Amino acid sequence: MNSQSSPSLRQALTPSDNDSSPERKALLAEIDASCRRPVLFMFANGLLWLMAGTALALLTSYKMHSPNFLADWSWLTFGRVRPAHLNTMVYGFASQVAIGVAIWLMCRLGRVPFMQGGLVVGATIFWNIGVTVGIVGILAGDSTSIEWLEMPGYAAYILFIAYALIAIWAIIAFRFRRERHLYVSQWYLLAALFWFPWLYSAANMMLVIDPVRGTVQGAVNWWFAHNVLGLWFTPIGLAAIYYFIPKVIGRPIHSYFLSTLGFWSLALFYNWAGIHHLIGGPMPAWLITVSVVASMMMIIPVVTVAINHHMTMVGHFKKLKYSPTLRFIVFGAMSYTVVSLQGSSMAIRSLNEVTHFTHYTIAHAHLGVYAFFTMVMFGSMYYIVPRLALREWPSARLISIHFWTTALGILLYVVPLSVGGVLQGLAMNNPDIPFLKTVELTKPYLVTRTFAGILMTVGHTVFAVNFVWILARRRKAYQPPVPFIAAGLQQEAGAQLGKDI
Amino acid sequence: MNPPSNPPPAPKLDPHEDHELHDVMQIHTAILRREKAEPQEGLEPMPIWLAALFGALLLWGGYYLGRYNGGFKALVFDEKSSGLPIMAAKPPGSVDMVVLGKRTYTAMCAPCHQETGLGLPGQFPPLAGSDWVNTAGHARLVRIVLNGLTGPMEVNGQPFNNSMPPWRDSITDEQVAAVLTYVRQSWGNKAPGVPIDDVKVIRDKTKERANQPWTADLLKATPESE
Amino acid sequence: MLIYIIILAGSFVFLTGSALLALRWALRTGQLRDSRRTALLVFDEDEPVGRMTDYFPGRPLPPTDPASPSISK
Repeated sequence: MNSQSSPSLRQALTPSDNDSSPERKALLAEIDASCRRPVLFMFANGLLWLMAGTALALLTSYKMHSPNFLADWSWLTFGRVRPAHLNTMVYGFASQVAIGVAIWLMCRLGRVPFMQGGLVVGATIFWNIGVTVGIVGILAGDSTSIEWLEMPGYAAYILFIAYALIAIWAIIAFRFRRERHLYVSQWYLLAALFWFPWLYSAANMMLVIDPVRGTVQGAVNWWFAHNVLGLWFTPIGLAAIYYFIPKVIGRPIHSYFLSTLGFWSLALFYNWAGIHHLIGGPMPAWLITVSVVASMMMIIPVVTVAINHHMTMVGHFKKLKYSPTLRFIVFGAMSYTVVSLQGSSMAIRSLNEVTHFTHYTIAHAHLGVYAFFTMVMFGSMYYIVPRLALREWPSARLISIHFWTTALGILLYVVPLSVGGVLQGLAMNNPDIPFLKTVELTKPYLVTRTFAGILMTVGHTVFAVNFVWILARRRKAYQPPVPFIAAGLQQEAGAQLGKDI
Repeated sequence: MNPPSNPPPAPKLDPHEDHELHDVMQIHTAILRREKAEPQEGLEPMPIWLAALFGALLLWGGYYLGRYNGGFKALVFDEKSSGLPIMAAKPPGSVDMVVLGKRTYTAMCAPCHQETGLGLPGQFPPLAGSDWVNTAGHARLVRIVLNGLTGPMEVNGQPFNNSMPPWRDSITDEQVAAVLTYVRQSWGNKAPGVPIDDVKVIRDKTKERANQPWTADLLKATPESE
Repeated sequence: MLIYIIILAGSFVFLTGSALLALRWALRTGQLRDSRRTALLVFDEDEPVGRMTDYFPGRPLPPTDPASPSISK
C-alpha cells in the first residue's frame, strides 16, 4: 500500500513491526468486530440508566427547593430518590460505560481481539439485573443508608459476581495481548480492574454483610466513597484521555516519563485519602491527618497528568472545532485538573470546616463525576461507537447540542452551587444565624441547579436519540465506512464519510 | 472491505505537525541530535520547577504529619494535642459539680420540683428561694435527699402535705453532693455548696434509718450542723 | 475484631506486594525504558503521527487536513 510513500514513525523506529500485510490490516477490523456486541450492549444499557438517573436527578434537585413535590408517595420521597439517583449513575451508567471503554481500549492497545463477547453480554445482563434489583430495593425502602453503597446486600452480590465475570475477560485480553509493550493507559486500566473489586468487596463486607461497629463504619464508608472515584473512575478516565488526545490530534503525549510517574504516584497516594471527610468527627486525629497529607500529595500525580494533557494540546486547540471526541475529552481533562486541585484544598482542615456538609461538596462531586469522568466517557463513546457500529454518527448538529448543553449545564451547576456552598458554610459556622436561615440562603442556588439539570437533560436526550439513530440506521448502500473496519485499506475514509453524509 | 481501485494519494502531513518528526531522514538526524538533549515528544524530562514543587510537598507532608498526629493514639481526637498527657491531665472523677448536679436534678427531681425549682403550689414545695434550702448548714438537706420526707411541713409560710421518696440506694454520694450544690446555687439561691465527704458522713450516721422517710418535726429536732 | 485485623493486614501485604511485583516486572521487561516507542504505541501506519482521526460527520474539514485530498475521489 502506501507504506512506501509514507513510512510512519512507528514503522521506521521498529522495523520488526514493519508488516503492512493484509492480516495486520484485518486485525483492527477483527478487534472492533469482537468488541462490537459486548461494548455496544454496555453502552446501550449505560445510556438507559443515564436517562433514568437524569430523571431521578431532576426530581431530587426539584425537591431540594420544593420539598412538598411528590412527597406523599413513599417511593418518591427525597431520602429514596437521591440515593437512587446516585446509584443509578454510578453503577448503572458510569461503571458500565467505563467497563465498555476499558474493554475496547484494552483490546486496541494490546492489539488483540476480545474473547468470549457472548459470555460477556450475558454477564452484562446479569450486571443490569443487579442494578435494577438494587435501585428497586432503594426505592422500596430497603436502602442500607450507607453513602455510595445504598444498594441492599442482595444486589451487591449480583453486582460483584457480574463484575468478576466481565472483568476477567478484560484481564484475559490483557494477558494474551500481542503488543507486549504497555502504553500508560493499560497501566491505569489494569490497576482499576483490580482496584474496583477490592474496594467494593471490602466495603460491602465491612459495612453491609458483616458490619463493623461504631465510628469505624464512618472510616470505611468514606474510604470507599472517596476511593471508588479515585481508584475506579479516575484511572479509567485518565486511560481514555491518555489514549484519545494523542490519537485524535495525531501527536504523541508530551512526556511519557511524566505519565509513568503520574500513574505510580496515584497508586501510592490515593488510597490513603478519604477519611478527611470526617474532620471534626470522633476519629483518631492521626487517621485524619494521614488523609489530609495524602490528599495534598495527590497534587503530584495531578500536576504531572495536567502537564502531560495540556502540553500535548498546546498548538492544537484549533482541532477542537473539528472533533467531537476531542471537545469532550479536553473538557474532561481540564475539569480533572480543576477538580483534583480543588479536592486537595478541600482536605485542608481550616477550609474543610467551612465547605464540608454544604452544597460546595455536592458541586465538587459533580465536577469530578460529571465534568471530568462523564464528559470523558461521552467523548470516548463518540469515537468508539461509529467504529463498532460501522456507521457514522447521523447528526453533527445533535453532537454539538449535546456538547454545549452538557458543558454549559455542568458549569451552571457547579459555579453557583459552589458559591452558595461557601456562603452556607460561613452562615452555619456563625452561631448567631438560626439554622433555618442558612437553609433559606441556599434556595436561589438550588433553583439554579434545577435549571442546569434541565440543560443537561436536554443534552442526554439528544445523545440518546443520536445513539439509537446510529444503531437503527441502515448501512449505506455504497462502500461502507471502510476505514473503521480496516483502516489500512482506505486511509481517508473518515474524511470521505464526512463528505458523503 | 474491497480494495480501492486506485491507491489513495500519499497523505500529506498536517502543517501543525511541522516541528514533529515525519520521515526516516529526520529520525536519524534526531537520533544524532539527541546528544544535545533536544526536547522530544514522549521524552520530555521532568522540569526542574516540578521537582522543586514535589520536594516542597513532601517536606510539608512530613511536617504536617509530625505536627498533627496526636501521638498516633486511638483515643486522641484533637489533632493539636501531642497525645501524651491527655489521660493524666483530667483524671476520671473530677467532674464539674454544677453540670452533674443539673443532670441529676433533671432526671430525679424536676418531675416534682420542676425544672424551674418552683415546685407546684399546694403539692410540691419550691426549692427556689426556699427557707429550707437557703441555710448556712446542709445536713438537713442531705438527710432529706437520702431518706425522703413525709407528712405535713411548712415552706416559706405555705403548708404542704406530701411524700418524697428516699434516694439512698439510687444515687451516689457524689450525685447527692452535686444535686444539692446545684439546688443551693441556682434560681437565685446563694447558699454554699455541699462537699462529697459530708454526704458520706451523714449517710453512715443515718444507716439505721434505712429507707424510712423523715418527718419535718424529726428534722427540726436534729441540729443543723450534724 | 481479630479477623478484621488479619484481613486488613493481609490485604495490605497483598496489595503492596503486588504493586512491588508489578514494578519489578516493568523494570525487568523494559516497560519503563523506551519511552519514545511507548509514547508512539497509540499510532500505527494507518493512523500515523500527524493525522487527525476524528471529525464531526458532514461538517467541513480543517482546510489543511491531510485527509482532505481524497474527498475528491
